[in-house]
Amino acid sequence: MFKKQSVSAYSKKVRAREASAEKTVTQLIDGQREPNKKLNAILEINERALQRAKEVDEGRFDKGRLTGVPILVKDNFCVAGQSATAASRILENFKPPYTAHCIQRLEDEGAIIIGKTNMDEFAMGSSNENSFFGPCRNPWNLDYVPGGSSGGSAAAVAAGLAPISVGSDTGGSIRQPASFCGVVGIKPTYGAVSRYGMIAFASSLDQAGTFGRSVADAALALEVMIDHDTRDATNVRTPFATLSTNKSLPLKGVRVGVVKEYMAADLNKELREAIEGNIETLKQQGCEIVDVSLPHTDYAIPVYYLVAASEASSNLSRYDGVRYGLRDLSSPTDEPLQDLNDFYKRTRSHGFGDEVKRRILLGTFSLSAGYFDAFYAKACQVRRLISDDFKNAYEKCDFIVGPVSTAPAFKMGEKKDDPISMYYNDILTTPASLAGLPSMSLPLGLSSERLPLGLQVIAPPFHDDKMVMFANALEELIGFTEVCNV
Amino acid sequence: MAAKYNIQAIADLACLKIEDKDLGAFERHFEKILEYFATLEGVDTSGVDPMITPHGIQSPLRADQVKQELSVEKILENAPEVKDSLFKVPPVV
Amino acid sequence: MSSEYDVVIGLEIHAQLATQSKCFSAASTDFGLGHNENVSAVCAGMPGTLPVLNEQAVELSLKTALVLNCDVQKTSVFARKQYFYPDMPKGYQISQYERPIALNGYVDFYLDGEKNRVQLERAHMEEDAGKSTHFGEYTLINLNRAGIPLLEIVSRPEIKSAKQAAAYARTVRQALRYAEVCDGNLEEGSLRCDCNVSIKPKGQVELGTKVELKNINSFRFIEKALDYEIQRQIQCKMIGEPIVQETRLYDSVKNKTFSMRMKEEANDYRYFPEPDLLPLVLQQEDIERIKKTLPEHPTRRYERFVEELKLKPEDSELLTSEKALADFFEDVVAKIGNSQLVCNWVTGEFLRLFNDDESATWRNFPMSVSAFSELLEQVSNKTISANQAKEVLEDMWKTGQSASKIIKDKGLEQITDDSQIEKLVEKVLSENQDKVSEYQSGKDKLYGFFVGQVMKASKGQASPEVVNRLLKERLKK
Repeated sequence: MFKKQSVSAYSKKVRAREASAEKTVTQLIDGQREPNKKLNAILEINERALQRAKEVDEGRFDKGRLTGVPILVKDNFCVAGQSATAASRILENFKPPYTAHCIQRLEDEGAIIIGKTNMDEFAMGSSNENSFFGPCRNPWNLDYVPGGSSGGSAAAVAAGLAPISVGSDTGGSIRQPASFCGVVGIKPTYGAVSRYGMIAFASSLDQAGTFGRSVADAALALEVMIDHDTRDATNVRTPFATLSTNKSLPLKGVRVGVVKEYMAADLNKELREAIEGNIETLKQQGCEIVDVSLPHTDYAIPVYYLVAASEASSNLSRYDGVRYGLRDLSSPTDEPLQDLNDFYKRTRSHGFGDEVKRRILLGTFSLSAGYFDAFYAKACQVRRLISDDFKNAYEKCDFIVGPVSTAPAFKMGEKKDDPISMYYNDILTTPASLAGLPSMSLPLGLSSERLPLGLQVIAPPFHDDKMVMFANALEELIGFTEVCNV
Repeated sequence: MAAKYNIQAIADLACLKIEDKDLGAFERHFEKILEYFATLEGVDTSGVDPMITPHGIQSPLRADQVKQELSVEKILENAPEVKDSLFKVPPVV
Repeated sequence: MSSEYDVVIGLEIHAQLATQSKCFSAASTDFGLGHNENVSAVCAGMPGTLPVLNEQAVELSLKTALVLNCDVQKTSVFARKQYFYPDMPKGYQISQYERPIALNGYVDFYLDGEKNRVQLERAHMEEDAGKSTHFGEYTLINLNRAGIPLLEIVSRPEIKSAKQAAAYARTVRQALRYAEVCDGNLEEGSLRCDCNVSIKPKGQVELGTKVELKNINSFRFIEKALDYEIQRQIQCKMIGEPIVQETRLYDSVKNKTFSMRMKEEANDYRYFPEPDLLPLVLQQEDIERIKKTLPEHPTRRYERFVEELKLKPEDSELLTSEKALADFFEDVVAKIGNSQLVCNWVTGEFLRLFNDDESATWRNFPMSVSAFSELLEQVSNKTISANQAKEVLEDMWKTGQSASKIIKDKGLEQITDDSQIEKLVEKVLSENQDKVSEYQSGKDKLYGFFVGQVMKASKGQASPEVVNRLLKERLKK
């Protein structure tokens, strides 16, 4: 239904009573059942979605920009009365009594939240294999991972389970699954979307963003989510009012940066060819191709993992079995509780998965007495250098283009026992996260194995609107029309 | 940065219990990671201002106004155990 | 106390800032509400919630920093202090650590007539935890207090005696109340005082092992708890028992401190900058604006009362103990002059009535400056006598009526008119000719009789002073 029709065109029809939101929502909810059995992309369907669709059809949201648009939301966003598990056992039965600011914005503009999507536990992962509810699969090939951590949101849009989904990106968690699943994924500038109501992984890196089948679809939802919120102290008033979702940037004279270090990475051959082909096309269109260097790229992984793990170890301390979430005091030997520490340890050890535990341990270590300076503090300093690299690069170019990951989607289980190689996956997405830059992934084509290849665009801070205009132009140029069938 | 560490001591700080059977795997992972992260040691960061958050310069403030956002029932509805509208936990030693 | 040891005391005073809403959320700070009723999703540390700093908490901290003569830091940074405790909802407390809002500073006060100064190390903002109540079988947690803004005022470890510590703490409380940043109620916990105390052989430079005392809920107990603890430490030294670095609680009933038996090993708080908040930045104009609102420091006011108003030190101390009282006193003096008279009445009758009246509080001041001034004017111009004025003040307190109305209703005005009293004197003397002769021939004792007769004739309303003057003049003749 949304394969050929844009979200804004559909919404216009709903407002004109030429299309029924109820019918659309019913179709989607019924339609996802079979494919979702294979994909495991959707964790929960919103029971109130149909009721809301009826309200939309009654004209209650006729002034909205997203009237009647069905949206899936990653399960680390709070929606009042719906589960918000972050794919963790520790939040299995948690139903927040509040709605995330950005989701509220979508609802205010008439969108219908139809369900919650699978993810890596607490957004920690690049394959969606770290979910308490089982892995999500790639709709292009069920043996492959959809990427992570927003794997469910990316897979669902690719498989047509919803036209738009919401995800979060801490070190690449929107861009990488978007590239693995052949959809558009946008992460805005850090601070553009309020984090209020988004379950925290790493506070200084987490940003909400969107997936769509087209730049315009993803950007429209993101534009609605970008809103000044006084409940998030790191939220900023953006200099742009809209994302110019339907405008294309004239390519002539645009300075396109190609990062030496990104292209020097151990890139998959087909991916490299596709990227280089794209750069060549841009050149033909009148873009000025500029070689730029981000000399601290190699440190992005250690810096990212230290900063993210440190913040996460702290952010996840609140899961203690006292006020909400799991309390599981069982022990294999049925020993009685020894002390207060034992009380916490039991619940937390039962509630968190291994990858989450690994990162909590790493973060705890990195902040602990005697190691703080060499690990956390050092990482924060190198983070500054990585950010400065971008500043220097943007003196020479308007946008950076390059790969999102070093290769297309990998097979399930392939990297599960090799955390380092899994972490290395994020080498091309974490630098922009550390610098807080807007960046996105666009489908570029398919590999010979029919796996999507993605192109990453990174823009200077608060140039989200220009990035979207540039991406619109790129999208026309690339003309990716392939769809997958599940 | 040849860091000495004790996984159980770190787990203790983080209130996590690592079963003996899993200890080896956690240790191996930790060792690899720290080895990989040792590359940071070589970066000259003298005089570099640490970056804590990307763009923020100064905290916005909120006016001192009271707003009751959630009722006590809503605050308690997710709690594992409640007594007299208070969160209940086993005796704290 | 043994003179073989030097005592080293440092105080950490936690002052609850008088805001309407909490430090990082819009939940109320009102204590009177039911269990967990002042709790927002932020206070409960619910997933996805974020802190936003309360402007008023910043203003009050800044004001306190200025009152305590601190160096205000234009940029301060919040950090997370991490430890697990059931009444600490996020698993960390948001607290300023490496970069507090105020550094240095000092507090001056008088102790036994001598001026003392305690130097401060810092003052930093932080949020309060919730409250745990332990019942043998379980523990219950109330988060009403969680997230209430506190300012922790840390003295340098250079207080030398329990008495000095208590006087310092009293002055801090007084200064906080003067600035209206904290109500300073120790019993209710809006002011909390932790004392670090150690002893060392006289003259030794190196500090002894430090013991932290908690749970002290009155100023009297600060002194008692410290005295007990100092003696305990000296005892330890004498019998060769080691002093353990630990936290001890003070039991005011037993007047003893006892060990909390807390594991000290877990004290790695893993502080790091709070990434959900950006640095707190103060502008010079904010500092200047707050400076203009500062009240006179209580110790400075005390000095002024002694030096300029020539009041006794003990009266000055009493008058300046509460800002509302000192303001009242000075406002009355401004109206009628005669600071000594006003001092006598305020420290005497006024405070007696105030203390007897349970409904009277400093915030809800029971008497207006104009009403009290009016009464004292009647005293100073001798319309009524001192004894009558006491009676009138009591009536004013009870009925809220003005002094002049009560005086009129009771017919208490003094007769001060010479011609009226002269007539009475003439009458008394002419009716007692014989006694006049006796008096004039040397029987001085009879003078009192004449005064009594004139007063009686005036029904007690004649001004004794005028009666005296006229009688003496008349009897000389």
